[in-house]
Amino acid sequence: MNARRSDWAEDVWVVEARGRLDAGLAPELEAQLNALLAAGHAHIIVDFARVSYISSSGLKVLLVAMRAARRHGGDIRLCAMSERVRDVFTLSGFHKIFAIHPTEQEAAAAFLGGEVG
Amino acid sequence: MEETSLYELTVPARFENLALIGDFISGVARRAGFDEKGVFNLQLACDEACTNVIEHAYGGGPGQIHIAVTVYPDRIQMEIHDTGRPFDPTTVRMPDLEAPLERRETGGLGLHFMRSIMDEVRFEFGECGNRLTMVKRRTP
Repeated sequence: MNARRSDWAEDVWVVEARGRLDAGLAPELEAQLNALLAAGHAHIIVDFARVSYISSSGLKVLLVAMRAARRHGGDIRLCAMSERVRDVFTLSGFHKIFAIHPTEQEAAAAFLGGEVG
Repeated sequence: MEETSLYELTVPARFENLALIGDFISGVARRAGFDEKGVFNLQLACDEACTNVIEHAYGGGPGQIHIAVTVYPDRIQMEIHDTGRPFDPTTVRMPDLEAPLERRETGGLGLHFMRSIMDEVRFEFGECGNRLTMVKRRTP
């Protein structure tokens, strides 16, 4: 999983998550998010375009990172999620905790607009 | 499909095998005629169960997970067997799905998924180990 600066907003970083966010791969996402937060980047978009699956292990990583981001005055927004993965957010109630945007551009625009997720 | 078909998989209880288990369940569910949403959900229920086995029953230590999937004309049944510590689901508090970020807990989420997705979820503990049976009926 890679992290890069967003093309659409300054000081917003994008984590390109991929594959199955289960207990086997969720630690990779966790490491990537922790690295950004440790470097002081608390405005983060997680791009789900290449994520085929998520379990409670993946949700847990996002929840812990979201709390850390908020403590640092930031936020984590999600984008480009498949319908199946989105269903897991709905089933867990996590769709009320995370703002889920259709595209990275829209997630970045929400950061610029100061919208709270 | 009138006959009953049995599919089995035994793998070491390690997180890196969850993808293999997911492929197995998806393959069987697809062959049994479940649609993509049904296939995904069966995979999620089994994945959460196996994650619990690896994390709680074996505590990250060595062990085997045996999965038997039986496809009946009217339902699919997944049996997950391990020989680790018994896991009593009644000790797990169900998560508050409405709790705000600061009070949100992740414990119990896997069990919540299993119970939401499947029509039956039964735990049995005996001398031969722990057996979880989950059944999903086909929608008519």
